[in-house]
Order: sequence, then C-alpha cells, then structure tokens
Amino acid sequence: MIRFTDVDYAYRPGEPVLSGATLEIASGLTLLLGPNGCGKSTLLKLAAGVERPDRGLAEIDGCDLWRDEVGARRNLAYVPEQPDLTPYATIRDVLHLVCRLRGEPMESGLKALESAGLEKLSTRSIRELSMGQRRRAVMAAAWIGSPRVILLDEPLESMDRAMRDQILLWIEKVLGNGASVVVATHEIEAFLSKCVRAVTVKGGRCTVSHPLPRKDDERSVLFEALLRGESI
Amino acid sequence: MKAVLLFHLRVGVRLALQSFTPLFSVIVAIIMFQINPAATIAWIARSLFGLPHSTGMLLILAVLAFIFPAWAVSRMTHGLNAWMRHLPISGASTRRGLMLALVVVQVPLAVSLLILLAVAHAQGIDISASFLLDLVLVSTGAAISALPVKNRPASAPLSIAGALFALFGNHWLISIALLLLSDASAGPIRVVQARRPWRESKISISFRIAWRALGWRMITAYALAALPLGCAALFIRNSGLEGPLLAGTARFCGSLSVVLFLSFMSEKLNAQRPVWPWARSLPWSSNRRVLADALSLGLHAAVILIPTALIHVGSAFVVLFFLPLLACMSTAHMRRLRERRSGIAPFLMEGLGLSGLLTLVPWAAVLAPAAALAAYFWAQRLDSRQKVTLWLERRHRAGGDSLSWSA
Repeated sequence: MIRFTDVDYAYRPGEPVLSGATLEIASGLTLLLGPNGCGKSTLLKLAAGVERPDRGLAEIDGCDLWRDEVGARRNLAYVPEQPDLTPYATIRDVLHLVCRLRGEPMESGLKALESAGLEKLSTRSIRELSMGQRRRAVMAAAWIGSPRVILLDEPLESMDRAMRDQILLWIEKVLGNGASVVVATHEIEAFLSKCVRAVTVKGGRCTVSHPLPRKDDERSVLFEALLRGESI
Repeated sequence: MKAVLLFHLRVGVRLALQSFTPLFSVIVAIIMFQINPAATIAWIARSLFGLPHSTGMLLILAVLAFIFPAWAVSRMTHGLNAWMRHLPISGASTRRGLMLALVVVQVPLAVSLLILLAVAHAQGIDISASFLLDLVLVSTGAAISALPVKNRPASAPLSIAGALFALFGNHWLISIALLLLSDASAGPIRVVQARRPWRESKISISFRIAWRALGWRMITAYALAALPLGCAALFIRNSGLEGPLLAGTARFCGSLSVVLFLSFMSEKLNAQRPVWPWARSLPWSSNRRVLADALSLGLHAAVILIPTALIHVGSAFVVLFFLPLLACMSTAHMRRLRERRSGIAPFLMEGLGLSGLLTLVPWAAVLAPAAALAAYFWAQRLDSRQKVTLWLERRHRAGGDSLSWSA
C-alpha cells in the first residue's frame, strides 16, 4: 500500500509539481497516466523515496519513507525511466548490493542477471553498456526477491519483444502474489485488461479513477482522455 | 568553422567561470596571510612586469598557465568522439575549436595579470608590448600541449618548448614557429578507449566505487596535502622552533593538510561519483550513505597524521580529534556542491578557520567529537533533503554522469 498525505513537492521554489496531493494505492495494477511533464515520474520518485516531499507524508506499507528509511524500502522495487546506475560500478556490483540490502542470496541476483540476458556482461562497468542494457540491468534488480510495491516508469520503453513479454509475465506473476504495481506509461494497450485503477496528476493534485469501466474499449477511451490531460 | 569556434568558446567561458572563484579565493587567502598585503601585490606586480623579470615568478606563471588547460581538457573532450562526430566538422576544426576553448579557460589567470598590470603601471613600470605577446604565446602553447591528440608525444614537447622560448628567451619568432609546427604535427583528436572490466573484490561497494571514480586523482590529493606539511618541516628546521611554537606550527599545518586533502577529495568525488538517484529507492538509509562517505574521506585523510606525527606527536593527536569533524563537514558540503558556483570554497574557508582555532586553542579539540556528531546529523539532513533529479548544469561532469556512455 502506497499512501501520500498532503504532499507538496517542487524542484524549484514557486513551481510546484505536487501541491497537497493525497493518495492511496492498494494492491493490483495502477496506471499512472497524463501528458509529458505533468508529474508522473516525480510522483513515482516520491513513492520510491528518491525524492523527499517538501511537506506531507509518503508511506509504504505504513512506514514513512523518511522516518523509517530502511523499513519502508525493504519491499520496494523501482525501475526509473532513465537507468541511472552509478557509472563506476559493474552490473554484478549493483545486483550484489540489491541482494545484500534485500536479504536475498547472491544466487537470486545471478538468476535475475540470466533472465535479463546479461550474464556475459556482468563484469562490465556501467559506462560500457548501452542504454537498453542498462535498462535491463535495472529491471533485473527489480526481479530480485519478492517486492510487494513495484514502481515502473515506462517499463516497456526501448525493450525488445522478448524482454517486453518477460516483463509483462513478471507483472502478472507479482500481481498474482498480491503486490501493488504502479506503472507510468503511454503504452496503455499492454496493461488495459489487467489494471484496476488509473491515477493522473493535474495542477499538482492526484486524481484516482476507480473502479474502472469493465469493457476494454470504454477503458481505452478513458485512458486516452487521461493521457491527453483532459478532465473526466 | 565559425559555429564550431563559437561552440567551443562558450564551453571555455563556462569552465573559466567555474574556476574563477576557487582561484581568486586561493590568491586572496595567500595575499591576506602576508604581513602587508598591499606591499605583496605591488612586489608581485614589480617582479612580473619590471625589468629584469623574476624567473621564479615567470615559472609560477607558466605552471598556472599549464594547469588551467590540463584541468579543463577532460571536461571539454567528453562526447567529442561520440555524437559530435556525425556533424559536418573536420577534425582540424574541432581541434582548433578545442584549442581556442583551452586558451579561453585561462581567462581567470589573464584577469589576475591585468590587475597586476594595472598595479605595475601605477608604480611607473614600463610594460613592453613584446612581453604581453609572450604571455599570449605561453597561453597558446599551454592550450596546445593539453590537447588530447593522436601525435601528442610529438606536438606537446614542441608547444611546451614554444611557450618556454617565449617566456624565458623572448624569442617570439621561434616560439610562433614551434607552435605552428606543433599544431601541424598534432593529428586528430584521440579516440577514448573503452575501459577494462573491473575485477571483483570483497571490499564495500561504496569504497570500491569511490576508488574507481577517483583513480589517480587520489595521488594529487596527497601531493596537495604534502605541501603545508613540507613547508612546516622546512620552517621548523630553518627557524629552530621548539616547545609551544613547534607544536602550534605542526597543528596548523597538519590540520591545513587534512582540510586541503578533504576539499580536493570531496570536490572530485562529487564530480566523478555524483548522487545516485536510483540507489535511494533501495533499503539504504541516508545515515548509511553519509557514514560511508565520511568514513571513506576520514580514513584516507588519516594517512596525513603519520607525517604530522613525525613533526610533532602531540599535535598529530590533536588533529586526530578534529578529523571526524572535518570528514563530516566535507561530507555535508559534498551534498551542497551541485547548487554552488563556488564549489568547495566554503568548506575550505571553514576548515581554514578551524585550523586557526586548533593552532591558537588546542584544548578546543575536546569539543570536536560533539561538533562532529552535529556535523554528521547536518550531513544526514542535507542528504535526505537533496533534490537529486534536479538538473543543475553548472556542476555537471560527464565523467560522473550515470546516463552518459560517451564519457
């Protein structure tokens, strides 16, 4: 469960991205929709504990992300749109770090590496990898352990067909285990039938569309409108 | 060609602005430490522009002229072999544009010289136009010598020789010929080779990443730290200092060495290994990140205590008490570097103040652990409050950019 209470956030003073945002996201697939620059990625960063709210509370499973930093992040997996892995680490370094912090055996890191097709690149430094390979590495890090809150920012972008299928299968699997999966995306077709709610950010406020229409074509119309930033 | 030159000119100006504050801070600090600062400035101007020119002063000038392009070149060449190569620009144009940028980077030095020139003129010293031309040639020679070109083993010595001929020999015709020859022999900008894969090790990932990011720069940090201690050793030996004076000198220079070391390390570490936003989503607290940085900086700085102890054992212990405080302070300042044009200068100033305090009031070391704790919490607060995804161009360095794979 992700909970935002009265969250304010601005990158620069006087230019709020979120202002008094209050939101609750329970288990199931949630789509985060809206036009470019509306604050989708910022919302995910705040939920992932990458950025700290200027005011208000951001909680994961009841733990404040900034009071109980380790506890709140224990079951969290975040895949950013830009795979910002530190350039002086190797893929294996990164996955070992994630295994250690999530209390998982190193084998699960190697398994994730294999699933992402990166086993031969494990000793390469991040600087030697292409953007697609870096995205795979971040995705592999999300596959380690069994996170209950999963935040994915444009997860299908720049992935090949096989990897896309693998990601969608994994999402289906974790949803089956009762996880909360939040996906910020412009590619709604792949998630249309699985999602249970849609969230959009407009004027610094978050709006939740729940329950969603049952029919796929009605959902599609709703999502298209949300993607264009239209009021429902 | 004009567009390329303008592009590199702008890059050069931006980097020159970046180096302005640290350079002037150091110059002002050095001058203010003199008994009569005004007389010192007048003396420097006289030695530089009066006849005969002081060889020592010319040497310092030459060193500074070469340091600026050497510092800036890696920042300027990132990406030149990547996306830029598809643009319709010849290799020679890129090289000349880069050379222009490396000349422009020396603007802070040129401004300092202009101030000294005005001081020399006010003293009634005749400034010869040929000396000014020599300075331009030195600046150009320094820029060419820093260019990462294919035939650098041939072009760099020629440009260095050209610069030295102009400065010391006043043979500007020979100097121009050497610089032209150096430019003609330079060849294309060198392609950056892919790095070798890293080896596995069992040491903490934070330390490993820091070491890889710093690389040989750590040697520069230790060399910088050795300066005050070397000066202290010579001063104590030549002046025959004993007792409290000896201890005070050792304390001041020991702590100053630590401050210089930490400022250099934190500045470099911040540029090469900036905040890693994604890692903040892992169960890794800001406390732990700050502790890892403070430990990494503090343990490396602890090596400086050995030469301090060789000068005066008691003073080394006093500096040891202050070390955690300085390490935590530099860790905190690292968290604010992105937003500052002045870079690490505020830490340098605070550290300088603490060194003074430590020299005059050594028992203040008793309070240092408590202050270290406060500095630690300050750093932790700054870490958690950082807006890590905010793009602040002015402190950006492609080498530490996780999204740059051309660096």
